[in-house]
Amino acid sequence: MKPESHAFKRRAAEALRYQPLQDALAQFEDGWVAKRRTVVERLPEFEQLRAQGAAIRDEALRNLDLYLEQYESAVQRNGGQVHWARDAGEAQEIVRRICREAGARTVTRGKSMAGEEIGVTEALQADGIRVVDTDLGEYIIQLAEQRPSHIVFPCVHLTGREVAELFRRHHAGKTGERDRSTVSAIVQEAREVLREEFFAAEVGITGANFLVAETGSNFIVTNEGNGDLTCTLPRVHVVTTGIERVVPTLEDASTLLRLLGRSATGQEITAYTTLSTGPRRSDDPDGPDEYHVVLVDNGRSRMLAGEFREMLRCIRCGACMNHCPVYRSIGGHPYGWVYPGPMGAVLTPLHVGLKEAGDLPNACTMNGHCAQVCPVQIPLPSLIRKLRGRQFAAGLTPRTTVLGLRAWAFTARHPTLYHALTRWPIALLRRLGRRRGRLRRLPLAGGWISQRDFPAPAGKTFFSQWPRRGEDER
Amino acid sequence: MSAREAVFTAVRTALGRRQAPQEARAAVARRIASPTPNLLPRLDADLVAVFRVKAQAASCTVDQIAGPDEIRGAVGRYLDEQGWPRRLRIAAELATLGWDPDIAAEAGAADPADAVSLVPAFAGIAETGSLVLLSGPDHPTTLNFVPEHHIVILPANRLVGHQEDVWALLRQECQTMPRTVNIITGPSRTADVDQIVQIGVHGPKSVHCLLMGDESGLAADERG
Repeated sequence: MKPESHAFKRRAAEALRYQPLQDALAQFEDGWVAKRRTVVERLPEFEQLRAQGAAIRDEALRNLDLYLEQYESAVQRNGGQVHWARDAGEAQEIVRRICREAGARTVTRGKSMAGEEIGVTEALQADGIRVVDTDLGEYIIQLAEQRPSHIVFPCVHLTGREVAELFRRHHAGKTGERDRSTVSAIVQEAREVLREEFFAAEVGITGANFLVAETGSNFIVTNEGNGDLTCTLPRVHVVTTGIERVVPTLEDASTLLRLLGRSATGQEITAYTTLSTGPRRSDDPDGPDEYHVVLVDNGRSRMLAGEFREMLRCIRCGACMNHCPVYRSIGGHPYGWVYPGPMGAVLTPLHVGLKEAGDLPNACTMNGHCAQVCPVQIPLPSLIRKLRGRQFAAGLTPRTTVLGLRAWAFTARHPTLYHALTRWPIALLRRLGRRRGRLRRLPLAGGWISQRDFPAPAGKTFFSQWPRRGEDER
Repeated sequence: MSAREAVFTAVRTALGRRQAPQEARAAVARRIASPTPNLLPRLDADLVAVFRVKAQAASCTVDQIAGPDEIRGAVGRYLDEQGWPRRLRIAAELATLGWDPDIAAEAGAADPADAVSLVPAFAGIAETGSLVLLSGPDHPTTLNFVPEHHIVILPANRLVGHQEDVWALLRQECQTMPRTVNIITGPSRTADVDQIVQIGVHGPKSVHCLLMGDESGLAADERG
């Protein structure tokens, strides 16, 4: 997928002005955030499980070569095939070849962020294959010719009315004119339309929430059941996923599943948790004849080496963005690539470079909320801070920031100047806000003050008050 | 160098090794050969009660029957109550229950015309109110996803506390992993339109569980 992260500031400004998005994001606090809090409070062991979850992921990463070897041989033992891809291009080629050999004309896809990363859909469409996203949110995004704006709720930025309009335009030949005024009517229509696709597809492509080294299986977690229809009905099942997704045993996956559902959607478990191991057995009445796993590195081994290894713990729950004040102000699109929010602020620059995505690590208030809720204890703010450091070291920090900081550093090293520069504005603000005790206008801070008042300062700076305080005590 | 070799070389280089040391290799093999549960959340002793509460919270309805003799009656009653035709797609192992002429029951993989399916569960999980279903010659996976309504028989003595207990049962009872293990918790749902939870998108619109067997006996066993 081609990144558009360089346009972050412009698109963030657009997002702030787009009211339907703002309405959708305003629901997060009482919605996903509250739901997660409720189920987490109901599980006294949650904090211990978080620590164990982090430890499981760390163990898998510490011995990633060994777990991948074990996983690969277990897949092969069960009749599946494992394909390795250094980058997105190689992964595209592998998926194209599998589809070509399967004679695919229609391909159904379950949600897979690694699949987005690879650009599976675009690659197959170039071969003239019809690719149908089957997760309802992804399907809607596909009709709208947009990109997901959230990793769990891809079309959260669209309203029901917009979805109804998309269905009216795109389903004209299929379902005709019908009532689309309720969520249930929209969902029913999607069910009917996609049903045909599930049965028509020759190849079904899904992601994997976890790969199990012990058994050579992959877990898929969904609520809709689209992942299951995608990996059961077509003749060929392809899993596209990152090499870091492996965990040692089924028991380890169970611990992570307890964290995943709660953190993602506030559910103790999603409606469907599915473990797939190889192709159908010789006496099975259904299931795919072929089972392929495409394991993608695409920058992951580079992350494994350095100071960003902790990021590879990520289990893609989306809790960090649900709790991020920046994400909740601008949504996912400004981030400009596959992963938005705090996880995206770390992953995107590491994947596509700081030159393209340098704004992302700076779009962070360092409030630390993401790290507090992360189910595998990824220290997101400190990883973001490291990226800022790298950015500075590489001379990629914006000129205005550098000049501003340089000016501040200069005054900070010259106390007389510093005190003079702070004393006069403070006294002035004090005078301006004397009557009300607060300020409603502030030069150079129009955006900030339009949302709130600024309390009038005390009139004297700390430094000018300190010597006098010393005299009083004496 | 093949892509496989290149990825392994990159991973090993990142881990600062050309080959994994023998101790690491042995530790990984041990962990995989003898899997052990991590922390298990505490559960109330009455697993049936926990299961009922959790299943119902996920919009799965639960009915109680004493034994296999009651399956046909309970299913017929349920179909009538819902106003659905007395027609079922069933798992092959249930074919011997003698459905004719009451209910038209056909075994085999599901096709798009099937409205209601009936399958036996491999196990149930109290912690989450989940049903565990395995693929196999007698119970095709399509039965769990294609029909609009799903009825599942759960023998009470197959109800376990945690997901981890299911893995133990699988290792004990199955020679090899089945192609598919489905852990199903209530009907299909989505919140993709207006963030409103709507039941019944791609999978079944309802899941009905027939809990079969003596509740009190099971609870006593589990306590013992």
